[in-house]
Amino acid sequence: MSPAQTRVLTGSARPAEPFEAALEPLIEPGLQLAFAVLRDRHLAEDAVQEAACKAWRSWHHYRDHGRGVRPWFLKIVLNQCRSMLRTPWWRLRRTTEEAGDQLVEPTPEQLHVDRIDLERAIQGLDQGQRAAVYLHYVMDLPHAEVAEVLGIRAGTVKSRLHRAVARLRRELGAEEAEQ
Amino acid sequence: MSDEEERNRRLVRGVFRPLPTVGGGYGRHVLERAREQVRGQRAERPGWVLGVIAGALAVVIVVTLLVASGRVRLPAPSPGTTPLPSPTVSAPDPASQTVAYLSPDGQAGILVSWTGVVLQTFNVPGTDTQPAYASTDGRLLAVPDPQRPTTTIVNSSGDVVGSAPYSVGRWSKDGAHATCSLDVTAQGATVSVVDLSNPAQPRRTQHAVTGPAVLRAPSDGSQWYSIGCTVESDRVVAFHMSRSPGPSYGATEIIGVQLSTGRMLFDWKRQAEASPALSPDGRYLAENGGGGSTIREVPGGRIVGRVPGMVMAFSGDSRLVAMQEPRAVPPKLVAWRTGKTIWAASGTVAFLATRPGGGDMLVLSQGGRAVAIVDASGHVVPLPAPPADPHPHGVG
Repeated sequence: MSPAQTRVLTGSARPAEPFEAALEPLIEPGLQLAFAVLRDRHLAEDAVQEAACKAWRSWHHYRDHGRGVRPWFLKIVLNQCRSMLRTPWWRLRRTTEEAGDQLVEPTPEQLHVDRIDLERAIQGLDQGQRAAVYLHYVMDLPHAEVAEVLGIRAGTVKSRLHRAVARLRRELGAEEAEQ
Repeated sequence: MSDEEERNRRLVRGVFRPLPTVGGGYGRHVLERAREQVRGQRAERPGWVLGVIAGALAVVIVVTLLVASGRVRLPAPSPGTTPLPSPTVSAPDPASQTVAYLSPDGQAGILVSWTGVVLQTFNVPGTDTQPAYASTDGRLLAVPDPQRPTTTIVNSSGDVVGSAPYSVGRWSKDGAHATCSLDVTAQGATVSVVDLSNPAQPRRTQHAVTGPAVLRAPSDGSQWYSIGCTVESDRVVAFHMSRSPGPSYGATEIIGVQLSTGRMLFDWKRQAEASPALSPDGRYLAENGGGGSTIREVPGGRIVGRVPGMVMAFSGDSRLVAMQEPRAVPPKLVAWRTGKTIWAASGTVAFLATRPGGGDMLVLSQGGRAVAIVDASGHVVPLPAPPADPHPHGVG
């Protein structure tokens, strides 16, 4: 890990640091968070690019309160994802998905049935649940930091995680998913 | 950490994999673009710009008021002055008015017109273990030899009309009597086109695939798969898939190659997407990743559409896609530019063939109990069942 990454991930980055040095190690986690929420690589790239622009615009307002740049930037990424989820195209996509909530029967052309099942499980979570489980279980962020990114209380994070994991287990069967 | 917490972690990580990764320099590139973009916006914001915008708004308001009051008449728009981008539809060739579907062992088939009239039933000789592959119009069948890399060409009467001492590959998606293949070995890659317009004398041309990337068979046993080709658009598209199910299982690289020269047209690195689909006119590629499909122009890569599901095939005129959504079965035909559903299947189906230049699709129902043609307006024409338990020769 580079010194810049170490500084950012341990939360010691200061506003005086160059913008690129502080944000660069967070672009990939930001992309992965956006992908976890949006489930589309191209949209996730758009979200991170726009989030980087917003971060640059508000960089001079940033104040480190001992928590580092990471929750601040991830919050911007998540807000950008939420903004994109409100677009007309996304509403069409969501409506179409909900209209056809039926059992999946694979077709002969379907090369990746397992992938479709996993996608179905992920689509069963709302965007807040997706973000919470990704931040806590994949990025290993503590509850307090997840709460800061999501803008909710730590207790709410715990209950959200509990519901999300329970839903995933119902959708997939825990044994299958853990393999 | 508690056992339950660890179990939860394994569960979530299993569900969310693979996560997209980025190469070195990507983060810097994003931030540089952000800096340039923000600086550009700031630079473009002097007072005179606001003045120009205000002036333009005033002009628009005045003109609108004049038009509304009838004092000014705007010229009627002439047809075609503002054309919307849409796929080119070539006039269907008479040969494309037919299509064939076969039994699972490839030994029997039915030739039908796209209007649903049965024209011929026929036997396909010498195909004990290897299925035959019908040309887009069903008039010719390529019958690979299971033992040797040779191919017999049969017509829709069951007569042997030609042979080739090699595997001919896949039929061109645009309806031409030609096949193409992309062979990737440890030494390099070769693209081949076999002209079968005169099946008695197949003519093969081959070119080594050249730059920008070096194309060789990976050492880990993973493979390259051809999505399809069209001789009219002079391109073949293939993707590389990792060897076994796991975090990186899926298409990790997609390439396009010019058939007439072997020149690589594009080389896109991807994060384990499901199999992409190429339109029969060779102009569009549907990339299936996450919960949706992104439709791009090839070779440029410009995004021209998105649909919420996995695209299995395009219609012959490239206007429709046969797709399946992660949470929605059965599959359906959708006009991808508008999102309008043209037809939804009543059960699991396979899309067997597309009509070149048109919107019709040949559809096989679950288990092969029924075959039907679905036209571009969603009208269904049932066809006779295949001679035996069918094996889908899926749209390729």
